[in-house]
Amino acid sequence: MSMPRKAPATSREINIRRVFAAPRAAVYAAWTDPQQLPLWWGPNGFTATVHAMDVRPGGTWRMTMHGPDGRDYSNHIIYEVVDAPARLVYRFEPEPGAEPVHCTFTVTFAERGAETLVHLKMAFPDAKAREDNARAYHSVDGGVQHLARLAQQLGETDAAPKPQLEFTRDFAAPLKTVFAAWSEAEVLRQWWGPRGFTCPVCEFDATPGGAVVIHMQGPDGRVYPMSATVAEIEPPLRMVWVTEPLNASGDPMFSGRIEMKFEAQGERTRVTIQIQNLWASAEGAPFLAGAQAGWASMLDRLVERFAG
Amino acid sequence: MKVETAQLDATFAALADPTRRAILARLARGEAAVTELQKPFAMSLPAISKHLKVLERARLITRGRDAQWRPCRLEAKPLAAAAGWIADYKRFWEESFDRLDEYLLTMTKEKKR
Repeated sequence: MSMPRKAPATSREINIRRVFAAPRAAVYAAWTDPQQLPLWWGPNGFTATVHAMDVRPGGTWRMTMHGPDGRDYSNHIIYEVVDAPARLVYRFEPEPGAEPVHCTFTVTFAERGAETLVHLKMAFPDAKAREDNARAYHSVDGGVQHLARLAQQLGETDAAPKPQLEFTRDFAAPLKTVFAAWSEAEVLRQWWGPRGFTCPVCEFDATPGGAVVIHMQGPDGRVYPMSATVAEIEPPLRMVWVTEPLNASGDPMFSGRIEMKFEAQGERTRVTIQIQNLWASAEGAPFLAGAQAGWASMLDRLVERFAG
Repeated sequence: MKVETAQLDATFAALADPTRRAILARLARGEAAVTELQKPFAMSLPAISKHLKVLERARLITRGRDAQWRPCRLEAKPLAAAAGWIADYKRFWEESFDRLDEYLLTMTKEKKR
């Protein structure tokens, strides 16, 4: 059965998710308590000062975010939906004298056993606005860092970046051809995955903040769904994805930041893949553990020695 | 490919700790007593015993029966399963790269024709 090959429908949105090893009430409180929020709010290097926070439909939230470069960002936000502890919708109001940001945030807090799945959806007026925002503010990485800081605030000691995995290969084709093979869904689906695997679904919006959906199918028929967001794209040199392998219910199990670099070597092209694992739910932890490079080689050596 | 997921979970959970990995690395050179395993670490005997219990439950090590001297021994099987997982990860990229390589070769040949 062939799947429709449409562009992802969420094109005016940026979606970032994370599973927290904390009860939902605690995660919701960290997001809505003016005492707790400044302790973790914003991407790495940011601090925040809350001036007012009236968490009710129609209520106002005023806050100044202080960037690592010393720049202040004044935020005027209006709550539209407050459904404690499950859902918040709030929109940014344009500030006089500041660059207008037209963005509505929907944050859902869902219970997953003892864990909490947070889905941060940023909706812009259109796809172009989403793309511009993602490019100018590195909103995808910013959102990922924002949620990582929340995890630390909630006591996850594991929230620090993990060791990287790296793979390199030289291809006998020019830079532009190789980059196209990575950034065009119709080409990507022809080679993505181990031998014998196919990609019944491969949708790819190759713009900053764009969505990627790949369903890989094994020779035994098992489907491995993955969603990703394009954090950075600089054709034909570099691309960064934040990936989320999904379980059968469509929830993310873990997340990795994959940076792909493309380098011309005469008529050939060198591709370097760097994988940084970001987080894992209890369900996804064994998958990630298996991908940890730090002790992988030691493990190989151990096994070589004793497998006989 | 079927792996015993629960066993794999236990293996990776046990391997997540640097002290336990160091203990396994030591045991890869041959069996050892608890007091001997304790030496390189600034840790009490009960703390080391706790780590050994985790490794034992994950079936990564076995302990000798001798009540006086209960040497710890490395068990290879769960480690082999864990390495299989890592190999899967490698395989994904290596084989994807192979397939891309083949695709690009076909493309260049078609162009030259």
